[in-house]
Amino acid sequence: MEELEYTVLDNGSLVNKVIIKNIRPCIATEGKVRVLMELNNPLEEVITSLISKYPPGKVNYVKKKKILTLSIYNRLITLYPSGKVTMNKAIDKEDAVEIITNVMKTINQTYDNLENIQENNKKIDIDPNISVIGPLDIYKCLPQTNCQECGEKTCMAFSMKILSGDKFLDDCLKLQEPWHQDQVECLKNTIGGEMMKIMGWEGY
Amino acid sequence: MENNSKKMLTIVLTEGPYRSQYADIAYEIASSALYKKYRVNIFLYMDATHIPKKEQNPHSFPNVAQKFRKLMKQGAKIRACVRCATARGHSCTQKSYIPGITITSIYELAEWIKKSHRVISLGD
Amino acid sequence: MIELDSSLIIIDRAPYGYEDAFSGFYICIACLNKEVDSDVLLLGDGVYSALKNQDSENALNFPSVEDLTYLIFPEGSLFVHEKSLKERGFMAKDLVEAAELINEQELYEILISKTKKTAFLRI
Repeated sequence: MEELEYTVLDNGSLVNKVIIKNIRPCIATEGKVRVLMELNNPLEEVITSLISKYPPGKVNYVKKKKILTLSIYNRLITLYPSGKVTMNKAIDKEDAVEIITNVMKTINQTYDNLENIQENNKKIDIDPNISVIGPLDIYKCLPQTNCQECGEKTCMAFSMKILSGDKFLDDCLKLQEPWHQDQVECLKNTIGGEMMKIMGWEGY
Repeated sequence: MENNSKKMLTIVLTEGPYRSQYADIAYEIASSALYKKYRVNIFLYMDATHIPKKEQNPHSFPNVAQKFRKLMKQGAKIRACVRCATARGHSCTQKSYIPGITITSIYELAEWIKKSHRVISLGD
Repeated sequence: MIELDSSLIIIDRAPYGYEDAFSGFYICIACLNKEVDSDVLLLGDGVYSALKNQDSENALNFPSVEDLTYLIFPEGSLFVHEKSLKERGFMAKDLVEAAELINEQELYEILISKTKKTAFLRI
């Protein structure tokens, strides 16, 4: 099949075009296709920083090869250092392009941040704590009342859903109450403000 | 005889008839399995999609299409890969196959793998 | 009722010379789409399928097998037999991004880790 090129972002700092290289199977009897795409720039610089842009449960990183897989939008999106991207379960090429545009925005934001961090001379780190944080670490920073207002039976269940990205910190209404500020502080110390935002903390 | 009626064997063939004898080997294995009351599926892939062509008339060798017709009578399910078959000129509209062969997608093989107790592939 | 829940597709022929590599990857993709775990093992001449910078579309008018190696990852793994690769004069750096080079010991571990519920298909 011929390659199809789409320019999806006008002002993308790193990536703004995507080329669809291959769609398999051609006979999409199951209504879902696998799409191989290529972005207009390699991703090697940003891939490690992208990890901390998504909840840990949604991220799988093969360190040896710098290949990042995201479980988002109900499908698996794999980013390669070369700039190639694959997506399973796409409905068609338009669907694939629409979804990848969102990821490209995050890539560009991360890239912009990289430059800022380099300017301020801060060390870029895959937050080492994130990879070893478990549900217990989140749990100890929750009110632990099992009030079920978040929709989960217990605070432990809620902390597991937070890590997997299936629930957001804002779902915990108790955390929003002013007398639980200690818990919010605890979260900040455990996972950091940035990850709190990614996990859905909007603030008071 | 033990009750094998629930067990399923899937055979994947990838070679065409006569130049090699994999189709004949598949016939022997499938025949035995059917006699022992196994369920048997045969998936025809790549050149094996030539096997069920009708009006074969081999001069010295046994007719492979007839063998497969026998297998179907004994209860075997035989499917041919649509991508491979149509590439080789055996489309659904052409009706170039002996009756009973279904032309289907590779997903059928994936489904069969899920349900089978054993899967074997025969080819070069 | 699900009897077998994974498959290992073994390819030992070079791509483009034979349809086998292409067809083998297709079976893997079909299995993955049907929620059957599936990996591809490249042995012997099959390792050529994992070389990067294939340009079959322009050179031969044939679809690229390299693209298919991307499409099975990450649900399926692509194992490349190291000895076969070295015998043919190639190295890890010549391979596509998703390929995993495995030695004899690792090959053994992979095979024994496959349970009774695996379909082995040599295509």
